[in-house]
Amino acid sequence: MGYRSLHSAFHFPQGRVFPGQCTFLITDALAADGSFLLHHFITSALQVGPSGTSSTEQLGTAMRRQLHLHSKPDSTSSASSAPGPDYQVILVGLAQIFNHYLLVARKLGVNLMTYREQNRFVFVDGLSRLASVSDSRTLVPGQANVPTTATTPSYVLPTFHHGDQSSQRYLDDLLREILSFLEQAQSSDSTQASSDKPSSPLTPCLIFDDISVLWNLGMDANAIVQFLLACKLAVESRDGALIILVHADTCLASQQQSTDRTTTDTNAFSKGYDYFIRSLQRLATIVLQTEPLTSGHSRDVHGQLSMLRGPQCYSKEFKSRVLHYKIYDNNAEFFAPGFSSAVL
Amino acid sequence: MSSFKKRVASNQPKLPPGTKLSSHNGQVLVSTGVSSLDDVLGGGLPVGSILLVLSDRKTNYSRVLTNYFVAQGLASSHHVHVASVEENIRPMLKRLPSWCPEVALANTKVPEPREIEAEQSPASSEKLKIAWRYQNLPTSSHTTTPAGPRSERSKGPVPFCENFDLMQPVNPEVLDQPNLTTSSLDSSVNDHYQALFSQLAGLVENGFSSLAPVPATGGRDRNIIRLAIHDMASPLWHSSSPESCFAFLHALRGLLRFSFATCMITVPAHLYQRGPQKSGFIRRMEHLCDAVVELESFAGSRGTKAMGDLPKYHGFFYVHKQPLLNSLVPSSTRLSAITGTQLSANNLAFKQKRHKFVIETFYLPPEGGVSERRVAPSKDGSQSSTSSVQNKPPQSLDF
Repeated sequence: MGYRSLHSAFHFPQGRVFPGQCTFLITDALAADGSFLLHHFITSALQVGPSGTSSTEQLGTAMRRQLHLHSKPDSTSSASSAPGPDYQVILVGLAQIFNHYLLVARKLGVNLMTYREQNRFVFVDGLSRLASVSDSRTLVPGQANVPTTATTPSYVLPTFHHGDQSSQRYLDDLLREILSFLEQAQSSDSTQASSDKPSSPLTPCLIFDDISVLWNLGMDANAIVQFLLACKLAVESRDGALIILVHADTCLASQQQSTDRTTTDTNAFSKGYDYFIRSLQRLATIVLQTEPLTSGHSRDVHGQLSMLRGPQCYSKEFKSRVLHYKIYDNNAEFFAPGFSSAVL
Repeated sequence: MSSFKKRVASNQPKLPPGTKLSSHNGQVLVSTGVSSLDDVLGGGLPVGSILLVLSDRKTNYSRVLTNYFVAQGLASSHHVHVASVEENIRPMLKRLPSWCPEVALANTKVPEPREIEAEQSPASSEKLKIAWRYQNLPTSSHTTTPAGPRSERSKGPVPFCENFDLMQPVNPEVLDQPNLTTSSLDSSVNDHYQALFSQLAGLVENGFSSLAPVPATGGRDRNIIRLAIHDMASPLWHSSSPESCFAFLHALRGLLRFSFATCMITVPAHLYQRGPQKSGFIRRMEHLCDAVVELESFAGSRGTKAMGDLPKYHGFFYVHKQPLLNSLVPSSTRLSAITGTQLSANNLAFKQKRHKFVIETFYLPPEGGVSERRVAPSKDGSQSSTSSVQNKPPQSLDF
């Protein structure tokens, strides 16, 4: 189930993967890629609940030995599966294609295809057709002239034309599409659950891999934040979780956008990238910040993860803390600074 | 009766020429032409990825890397497409490094199989007297085989990374082959990025896309297309908005992910540099590419001016981003011999020798220099009296 040492480091009440109604913001840098955290959320969200018991069995002992962060794990998290509702993961991949997530999840012991058939995993492709220049492509996955395979995404984001199209209207359409996926999950689950037991509706977990792509393509920062706020409300009203990855290198802060001419906003002056990052942070319950080590590259410590309270965090239990991590082929290990297994 | 079934090589789909499977995650890799760069990237450049090369100031070593990339594509008979705004591409291609089997084009006579056997037999019969453990290792074919009967190799598997010679320019006949296409973007276009992308999309989707079914006609196998874009985002590139560069990179990534193609882009990053900090514009491009390397030549850098005295290297080589497709850790952590087991060790340097371009681990020379350590004993007695006085203190320090 994801990275065990990260799960125990979060220490959410009742050993859950996510506390109810939670927004994570992952800010990373080029030298410390934060996308490995997304795979934790994808795999652990799919494996919770009653159906998770069988899948955690198949995890080898390699996954279980990473418990030295909390030497005394509480009884709930040491159980073979974390309790919680069945999640439906909606992944908006703006940086990678479905194959990438599929293969990494397989390494982590989760087959996304089976969850996809159960409609518990939805992939939205934001790479193939989103950019304005990709009009000239003739072969795009999900199109009529391309044969449908098992890895064809559920939805492909249409082309965004910078300049002659309002980013607000574009994101409204996307929001409608995401909401329809959320509703589908509520309805289709009732038909599925008729087999053995009446299960509760699926809880959504909406993931954006690299929202900064939208900003890079020239979408208005305010429109993106409004869109994410609407997503957050939709997800959290169903007790779900929203996870956003954004690049936040310090040298990006002064970057400007050319102004979106079609916005009705009268004070359409160009706002910098730091404005975008800060307004994203206002949405967050928990900010996960990955940074390279200030002391330089290390073989045994790949970076530093700061778990910070966001402005929306009302939990008394959550404590900000700093961890170091090392990424393996099929796992990532999180430990207190100086407690690397190479040192001890 | 076990269910274990040995995978036979013939069952698996045939790999395109000049490619290999990564032993780390089973990805199809192509060579950049520089074997040490392949090593730094973890075996090679994964098919479907974009390599961004941040060019050096005042020197033109990034052009050398592009030339290698193009020449390697021609050597393994890939389709190669070169795009540039600045100049006529043909003269640039005339300076491509040559490789060994190019000679085969000149003498088209295919030797008889008996001849080949006769030629191979002395090498195989030659037994190793010492170091038996190396006996089964493959001998490096580049050095041992003579330049003459090369056409035997054209039937066998194409080597993953050729041995190039920078001193010898490529045979002009090679440049006339139909698998080498170029596009010089003229300055009348409103948006170069858009124009270039529509060209590339047309090229790639015509036979190199993995979304289309395998072309069954005429037993045509899958081939690789290499895209080389020279000096992107230089002042000569027109764009309708600053975002079109990022839109281009994002769309290109989406295009390449579903195709048998790789791309190498060189960018004059120093034009965007303001102060010591990295430029944000370049960083945004770096995030949209899959692998990022930077060349910093000693001749063009301010910080390392003093390093120019080092005769051994020509500059630093930085790896800012490793290709990370379909896995959590880059494959170079396990496979790279130069960087060892570090994620990205930034202690690399490059040098351009007479015949080849190499990247290796940077070491400072021994203190005091390696050139002349001892004063040569002079034969003339009268002069030695004065020179020995001058040289006395350093000699006493020198061990």
